[in-house]
Amino acid sequence: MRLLEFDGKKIFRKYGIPVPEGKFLETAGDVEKEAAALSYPCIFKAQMLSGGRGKAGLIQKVSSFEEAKKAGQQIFAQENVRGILAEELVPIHRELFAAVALDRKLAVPVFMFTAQGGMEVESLPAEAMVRAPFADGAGWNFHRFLDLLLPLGLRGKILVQTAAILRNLGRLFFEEDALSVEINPLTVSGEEKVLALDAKVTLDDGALFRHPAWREMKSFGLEAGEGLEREAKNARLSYVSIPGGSVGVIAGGAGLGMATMDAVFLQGGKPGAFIDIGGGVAEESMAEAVRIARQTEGIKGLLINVFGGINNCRIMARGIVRDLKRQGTRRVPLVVKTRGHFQEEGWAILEGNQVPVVKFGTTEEAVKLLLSLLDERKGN
Amino acid sequence: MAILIQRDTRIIIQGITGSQGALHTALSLEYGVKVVGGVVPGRGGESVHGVPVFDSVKQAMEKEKVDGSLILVPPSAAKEAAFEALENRVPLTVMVAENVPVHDTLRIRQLAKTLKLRFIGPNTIGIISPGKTKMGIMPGFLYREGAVGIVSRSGTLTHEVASNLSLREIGQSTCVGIGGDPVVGMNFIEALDLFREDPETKAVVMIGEIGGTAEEDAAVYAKETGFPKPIFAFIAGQAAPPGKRMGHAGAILEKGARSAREKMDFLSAQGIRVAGKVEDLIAFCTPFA
Repeated sequence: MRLLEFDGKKIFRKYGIPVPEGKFLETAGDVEKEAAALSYPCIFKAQMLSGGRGKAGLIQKVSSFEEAKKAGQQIFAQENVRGILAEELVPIHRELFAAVALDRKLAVPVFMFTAQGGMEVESLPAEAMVRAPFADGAGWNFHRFLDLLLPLGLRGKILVQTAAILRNLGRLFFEEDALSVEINPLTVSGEEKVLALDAKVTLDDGALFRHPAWREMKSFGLEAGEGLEREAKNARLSYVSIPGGSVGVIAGGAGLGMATMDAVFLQGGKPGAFIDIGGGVAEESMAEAVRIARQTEGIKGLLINVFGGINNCRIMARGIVRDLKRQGTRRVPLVVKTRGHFQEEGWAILEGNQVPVVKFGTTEEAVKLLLSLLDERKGN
Repeated sequence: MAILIQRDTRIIIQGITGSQGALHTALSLEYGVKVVGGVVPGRGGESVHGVPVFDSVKQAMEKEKVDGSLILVPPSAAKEAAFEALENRVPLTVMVAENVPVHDTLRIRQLAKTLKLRFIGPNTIGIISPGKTKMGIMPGFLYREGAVGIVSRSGTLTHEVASNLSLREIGQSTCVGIGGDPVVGMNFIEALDLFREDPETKAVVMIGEIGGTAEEDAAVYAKETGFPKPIFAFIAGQAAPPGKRMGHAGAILEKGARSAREKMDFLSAQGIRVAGKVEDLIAFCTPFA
C-alpha cells in the first residue's frame, strides 16, 4: 500500500522525524473554510498517489487568501486528487536524501543516503550514494548512522539531527512493516533545522493483520481504484485490465497467468484482462473472476487456465458455472483448461454445462480453441 | 536419487488440523508420503487421517525422527511456525502460504542461514520427487518419475510444465517450487547446485518470470561454474504491461529492470536454451524421456 504524503508524514511525526507544520484540506469547501486561518505565504501540495506533481502544477506557492482559493479550485479540478496539504514555507538551504528499501538481489533491506538530494537524485553517479546493507538495521545504534554521515562532511547540529532522523527512519521501516521509505528532499532550513519536506512510504499489505490502524488512513484502499478494480479487490482477486485487448485471461498463479497471456499474444490474440485468482479460491470468488473479466471493456472471450493444487477443480468449476447461469443464454465464449485435484468432478460439472474443456492439452491448444471460437462468432 | 526429499523422507505437517492441512495430509498419504506427525498447539493427542497430532515441533521430534516440516498455516501464523521448525533444527522447512509479510520472510531467511538449515518458500507449491514422495500441495498424479529436474518461481507453471512432460512420458527427478515472492528462502542457484550433484537428474528446466534478477544471477552462476547438464528456461511475462503488478507474486516489470524478452536474451547469451513458448520445453526435454 502506497501512502499519500500526508499519511506518510503522520507516521514520520510518530517516529520523531520532523516535518513542516501543515494542515490537511480534504475538499474545495475545506479550502474556503480554512483559508482565512492559514499563514501566508504557504505551499499547497496536491495529495495523490501518482508522482510528477511539481511539473503538473499540483504543488503551488500561495501568498494570499485569494490565491489560496484559486489554487484550491485548480488542484481539485484534477483527477485523483485526494486533498491538499497546506504547509508552512520552509527556506531550503540544502537538500539531502535518505531511503530504506528492499534490495531484491541481495534479499536484504538497504539504507541509502546522499548529501546531494533533490529532483535529480536518480541520475546521480553511483559513488555519490551511500548504500549500506541494513538487514540488522533494527539493532543499529546512533553511532552507526553518525559514522555513515561523517565521511560526507556533515558536522555539528546538522550531523546530529540527520543521524537521529536516519535512526528513526530505520526504526519506522522495521516496526511499520514498510517495503520502502524515502525522504526526498530531506531539507536543511535556514536555521540549520533538518526536516522531511516529502514522504514516500510503501507498506506491506501482507502485514495488515497486525496493523489495524492502517485501515484508518486516507490512503487505505486507494490503490484498489474504482469500478471493476475495486470489485476484484473485494473478491481478493488480482486484476489488471489492458486497454485495447479482447481476450480475458483467468489463471491460478501469476506465472501461469502471464504465460497464458503470452500464448494469446503469440497466437495473434490480444489479452485485455488478467485475473490471478490466487490460492484457496472460493466458489463465489471464482464466479466474480469470470464476471469481472467478461465485463471488462472490449473483452470478447475468456480463457480460464487453472490447476487444482492449493485450489480445487470442483469448486472452481462450480464458480464458473455460477456466473454462466447469471449470463443466461447470451454467454461470452470461453474455454477452460483445468486439471489437478478433483479434476474428474470439475470436468463433469463444466461439460454438463456445455463448456469446452481442455483436459490434457497444452495452453497453446486452449488458446487456439478459444480464438477459433471467436472467429466463428465473428463469421456468423 | 532425486534431491532434497527421497522415498524414506519423514515429514511433519504444521497446521494439520486446518482445512488445507487436513486435505493435504490425506492427499499426501494417498501419494505414499511418510507423514509421521502433525503439529497444532493445544491439539496434541488428536489424530488427522490416522496421523498423530502434537502440541509442538519439539514434542513431535521426541517421538519421531523428522526430516522435514511442511507448514500449512495462514500467513499471520507463518513466522512463528517457521521459527519453531528452525529452532528445533528441522533440516528442511517448506512454507506454502502466500501473502506472508516480507519482514517475516527476511527474519526466517536470516535464521535459516545462521543455523545452516534449508528453508523453501513462502508462496510455493513445495517440492516433489515424483514416484517417491512430496512435500507440498501439488497434485502428485500430474508428475512422473524421470530424469528432468525442475526449479521454478511459479507454482502453477510448474504443474503446467510437469504435466505437459508427464503426459508425454518425460519424467522428472525432483521439482522445486522456490516461491513467487520477491524474497524467498532457497533460490535458483542453491537448487542448481543440488541438481549438479544428483546422478538421476540429466537436465534442468528453470521456470522464471519478469521482476528481479534471480534468473540472470543463476544463469551467470551456471556458466561460471561450468554447470555440467543442459539447462532449459522459460520466462513468463512477454505480454505483461509495464508497471503493473501481475498477480500476487513479485511479478512486476519495474523501471530499469529487464523485460521478459531481454531476460530471455540474457539467458541465451549465458548458454541456456530458452523456450519461446512454454510448450517448447516438451521438445527440449524429449531426449531425456
